[in-house]
Amino acid sequence: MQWDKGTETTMNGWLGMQEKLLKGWWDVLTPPPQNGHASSAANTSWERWLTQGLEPWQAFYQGNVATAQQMMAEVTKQAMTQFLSGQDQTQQLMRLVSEAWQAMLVKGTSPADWQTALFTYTEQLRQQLNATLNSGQLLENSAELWRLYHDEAQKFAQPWLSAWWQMPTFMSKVGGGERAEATNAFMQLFQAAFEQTWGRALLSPSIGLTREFNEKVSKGFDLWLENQQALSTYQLLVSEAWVDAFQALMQKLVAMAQKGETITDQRHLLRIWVEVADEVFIELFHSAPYAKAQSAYVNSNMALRQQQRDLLEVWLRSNDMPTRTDLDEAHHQLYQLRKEVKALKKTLAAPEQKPASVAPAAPKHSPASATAKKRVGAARKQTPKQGADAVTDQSAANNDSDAPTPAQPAPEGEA
Amino acid sequence: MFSLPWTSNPWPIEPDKVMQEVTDLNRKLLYGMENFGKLREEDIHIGTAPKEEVYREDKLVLYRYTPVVKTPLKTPVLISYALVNRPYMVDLQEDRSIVRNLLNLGVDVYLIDWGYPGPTERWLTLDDYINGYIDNCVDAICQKHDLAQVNLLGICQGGTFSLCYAALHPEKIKNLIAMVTPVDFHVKGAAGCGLLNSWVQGMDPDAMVETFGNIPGDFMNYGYLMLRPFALNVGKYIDLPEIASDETKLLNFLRMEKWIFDSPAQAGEAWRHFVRDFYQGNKLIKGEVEIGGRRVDLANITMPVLNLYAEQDHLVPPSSTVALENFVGAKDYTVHSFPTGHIGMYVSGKVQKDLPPLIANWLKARK
Repeated sequence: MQWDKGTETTMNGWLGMQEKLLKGWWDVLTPPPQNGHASSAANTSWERWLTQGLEPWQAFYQGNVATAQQMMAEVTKQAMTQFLSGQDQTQQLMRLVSEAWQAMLVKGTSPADWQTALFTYTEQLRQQLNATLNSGQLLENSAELWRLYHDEAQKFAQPWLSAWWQMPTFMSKVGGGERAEATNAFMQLFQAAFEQTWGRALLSPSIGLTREFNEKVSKGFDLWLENQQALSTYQLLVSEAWVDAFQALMQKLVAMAQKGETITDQRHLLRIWVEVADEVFIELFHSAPYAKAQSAYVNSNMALRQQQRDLLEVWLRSNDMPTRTDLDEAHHQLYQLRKEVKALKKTLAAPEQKPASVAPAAPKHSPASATAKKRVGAARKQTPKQGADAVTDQSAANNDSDAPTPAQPAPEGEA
Repeated sequence: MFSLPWTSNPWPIEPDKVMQEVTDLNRKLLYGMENFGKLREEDIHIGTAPKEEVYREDKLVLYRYTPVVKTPLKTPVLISYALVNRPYMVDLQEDRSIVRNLLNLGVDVYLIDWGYPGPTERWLTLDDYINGYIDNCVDAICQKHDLAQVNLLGICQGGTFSLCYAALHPEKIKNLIAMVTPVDFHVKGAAGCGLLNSWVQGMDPDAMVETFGNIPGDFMNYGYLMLRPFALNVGKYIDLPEIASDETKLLNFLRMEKWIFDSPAQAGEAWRHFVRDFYQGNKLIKGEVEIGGRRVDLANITMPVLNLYAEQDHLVPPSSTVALENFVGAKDYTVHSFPTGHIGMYVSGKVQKDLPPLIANWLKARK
């Protein structure tokens, strides 16, 4: 990041905005008249804080600070992103705290009243959060579900479609000339059939040429639905914890106020929030329902991702491109070959070394361990290079040039 | 009569004080941003103790740190770190380095760097890591020093690997040191502790390995951050303006950040086995873990054992570590704790004052 005039102006602007925000926050929190009811002035200052403090700050944050971060090195960027994100969360937290405090000011004439007000406020929060997660409603509408799944699936299925429809090279490979034309006509039929499959008909067993692909799509829908349900369950648990944590924060702040303890600055507020929220969330994390919901979400997500890969591989194979399955197979063979070469090198090297004076070691893990077992003690004395990757050192693999020779006796046993 | 908190100055924020705080904070933030602007990735020096490569196999590299005393202890110490983080944590910065402190105390130190697993390493098994890599490193050191045994220091998951290795190859280990090492994977920790054990019970490691291949480091890191979600994602950055206004402190902070997020992936097959048998099955203490076709019996660990743990460890509950005493066959067994967390074992100034001498003296008494 270059620290130039422009950057400084940007940062000064951001910081000035922050100061204004904090000052406004203090205005908002100024105690109302002694009758315990919020005055219209308090409401006005609250509105002013929102419109003149918080909202401009957030807009500024999104516009400028993100740009400034782009100029930083990766690690510093990560750290600053965390910090600025924390700042953003602080502002959001202040907003929530202030809103709750305002709600309590309006009602607060007795201990029961403020607690009722807090409860009412947090219930509203809870309802708002739940409304966004309204899984019951979502899951009732299968047409909407298919649309959502289609949107998701399009990300990886679209290339499959467009490639099949538009790729002349593929057509020429298939036949060429008139046959290609015929194939093209066939493909159009296929296209029509495929489009029909994007619907609830897919829930029935498929038939014909597209059957296998359709089955994959249909299975994908089931897995996607399962994943959405698991996600909803997980989010509901977490959203409850958010509301509980916020409620706990407000109770803590009231308790502090009653003891005459002060909030010194925004970071003090943030520290209290971190402490309170961690307690609430960790309690949730230790619960059996959370462990179950988390596992269900992760496991269903894995199943969905695998199924998406299956779909993607249909397209990749049709375009003569390697798939993840192909690469896994190749890497597995490479791994096995590497092990075999290592074992062979050890077997070849062992007879040329002197026996060690220590007791034979336990069998080595390599496939050749059965034959090398008697010489393990000697193998232990090999040079480090002998155990190294033979794949990257073909000459050593062929010539075993690193093995100790009679002119290079291995050292004696232990001291 | 109940006094409403807000009628008696509920949040007695003093405007002048608040503004002063904000001004100070902003000034620090400005300096901090300027410091950030000056820094480059290469300014974050880590793992600076001089060392040389002595052995290489696949992506593993075995380093020997350059001894700084004329006659170091005859039997070197091999450090085996966890797979999920980079091993330079033991030499994070010059004034907080277990390695440098051990070197100064006359210990000859070797370190395994596991490297970053790629697609080919997805198939590596625990057998490859323990009976392959660790064993070959031990052999390389023995050969270099003309010895039959080394001292083994395992940290975190590397400690569990070391226990397995020592149980399978007891004749090659002179002394064993386990540091913040999970042993009993089913203990219930205090608040925030032992969550990993709980979370992993319902996970399907087969599905995860089939999906991911190697388990991404970021995925693992997300889990660690969620163990204390607010403290680790928000709380630790609250004081960043103060830290950033001091270049030295900022660099120390960034070293730690780099280490935390520099997380290699987990080799798929080894991870699957580790989760299934250790975390889910808790088979290590049951004597049911099999590696390379051989049963791991902790009772085979008859060499002297030093077990070190952190009293506020939120990753590896202390009760998980201290369980070791009930299962090893060692008659010479020492356990010692430090009043810090998992990471504090490497970077806490106080621990750095006490931990390396404890290790060095324990080794000297058993040389």
